Amino acid sequence: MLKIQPTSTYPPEKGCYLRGNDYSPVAVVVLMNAPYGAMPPEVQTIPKEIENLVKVAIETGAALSGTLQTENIGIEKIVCNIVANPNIRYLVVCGDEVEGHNTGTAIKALIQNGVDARRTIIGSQAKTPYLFNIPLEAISRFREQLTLIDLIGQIDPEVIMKGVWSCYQETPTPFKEFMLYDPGAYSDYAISSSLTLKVKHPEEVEDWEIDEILKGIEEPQEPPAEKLKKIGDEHMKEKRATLTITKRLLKVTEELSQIARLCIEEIEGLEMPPEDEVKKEAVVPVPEKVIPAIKPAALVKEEPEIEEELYFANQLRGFNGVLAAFQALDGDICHDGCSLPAAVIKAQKRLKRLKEDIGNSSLSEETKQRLEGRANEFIERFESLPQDKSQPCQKTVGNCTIGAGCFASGALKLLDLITQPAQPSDH
Amino acid sequence: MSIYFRNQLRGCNVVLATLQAFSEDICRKCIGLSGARTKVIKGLKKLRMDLDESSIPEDDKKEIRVHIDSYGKIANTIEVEEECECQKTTNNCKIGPGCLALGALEIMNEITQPAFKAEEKEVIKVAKLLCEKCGAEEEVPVVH
Repeated sequence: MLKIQPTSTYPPEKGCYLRGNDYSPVAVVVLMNAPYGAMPPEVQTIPKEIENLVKVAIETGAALSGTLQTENIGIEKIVCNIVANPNIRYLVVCGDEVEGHNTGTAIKALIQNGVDARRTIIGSQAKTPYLFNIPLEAISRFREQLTLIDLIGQIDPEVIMKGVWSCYQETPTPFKEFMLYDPGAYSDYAISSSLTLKVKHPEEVEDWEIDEILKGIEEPQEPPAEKLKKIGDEHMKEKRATLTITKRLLKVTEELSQIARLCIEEIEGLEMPPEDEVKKEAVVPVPEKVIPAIKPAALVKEEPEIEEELYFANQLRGFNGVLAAFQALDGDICHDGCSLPAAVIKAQKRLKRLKEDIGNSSLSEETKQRLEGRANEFIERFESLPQDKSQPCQKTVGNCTIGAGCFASGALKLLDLITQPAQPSDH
Repeated sequence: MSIYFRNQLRGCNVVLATLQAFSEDICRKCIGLSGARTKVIKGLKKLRMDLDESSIPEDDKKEIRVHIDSYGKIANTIEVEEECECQKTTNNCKIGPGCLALGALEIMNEITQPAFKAEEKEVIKVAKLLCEKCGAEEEVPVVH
């Protein structure tokens, strides 16, 4: 049975995976339906059952076994790592589907359908299944090289073990609807590729942007073998010269960093200007009829520990946003309408009630004073907004043409987003 | 049709003001605010593209362009920390499952009229159907 040495850089992409036997025909992807990527490094942990599946797969004999969360960068890394090792002929995808990402269906669709001209996985249910950072050659090889063993939803280690084991049997072995055996390495060279990261945040890409992005992604033309050899020879000749230059550059860098250090020390020794002068905001040209977005007073940065206090802090947080929206609307046609005053009065009532609740709460006097102070500041700002509900509706007079909706009421809805903690009981 | 662009800008003004307010809070280091800001910037970019392609008078276009550029600048001044994380995950944001920054974006959904693009597409569709019926290759009429 033919086996091939993987590329020298194998596996080219770092990630959350374990490396096992390079000559094994199977790689395992465990879908990770957990908020791993967003957690700070010190608390970053993979759920035990997922970690166990990854370990079980590698211990059973997989070449690579790791977790997958995102339908774009995550899949791109897997493609790069797999095409760098032609011995891998099966991809077992298991674990619960990643909520929101639908990564399992995305990788399945990639193997079944590939990508379209816009580098979007065909038939994927994922939101942003874009593969902008890897060569099309790698994608096409990935699809040719692999057979998918679809175990999406499966979290039983026994089943995963059986699947992995079946893949490296010498004779066809039944596993679910498959007949699995090790067919040997894929009959072509390994592809060494890594993520270009031309699109670092594919999750932010909008559909209408894709064509523009594609213009910036040019597939590198593969140089012929002779040309490659020539480049290689020249590269070897130049290697020594490059080394000398690099050493010199390193020395220059060290000297520059010393100078920078001296500058910092000198600047730190100088008297700092008053904070007001430092924090001067950049002046933004304001278009006609438009009020610039007003910067409200800063809120607390530290989160309160006591639930009762947290309730009030969260509510005030919402009012801060509503106020900013109302102030922006006050510079618009809403100033002369009836909806903004109505919304202002409503918000004002709620805020006054909140202030009363703060007063009646069991919080310390100091905390009460602080929270009430902030509430008072907001009340003052509300009072400067229009209160006259007798003004004509701007829709009726034909000025407001946005449809049935209303910006002022929409802004008020921000308060409804705050659902925790529950309102403390009356004292 | 310039009403479409003006309405979008009106909504954008409110959203920007709200996002700026939230940037003074824990949202400053939140991926939610960062994403919302990106959405607004992209939305403005798309609005500019649509404006360029639209058939509204050049003077109106110029005026609207100034507004779009100005909002773009305001959007870029919304302060968001370089390394952002979801503040719910880091246990700083305890307002519940809702997200204030994304909620601010919802204000744009209050605008339902006029459906500029949809109308234009519909006319093009009808025009193509007509051409298919008569078999003639005629240019798609410009929508005013």
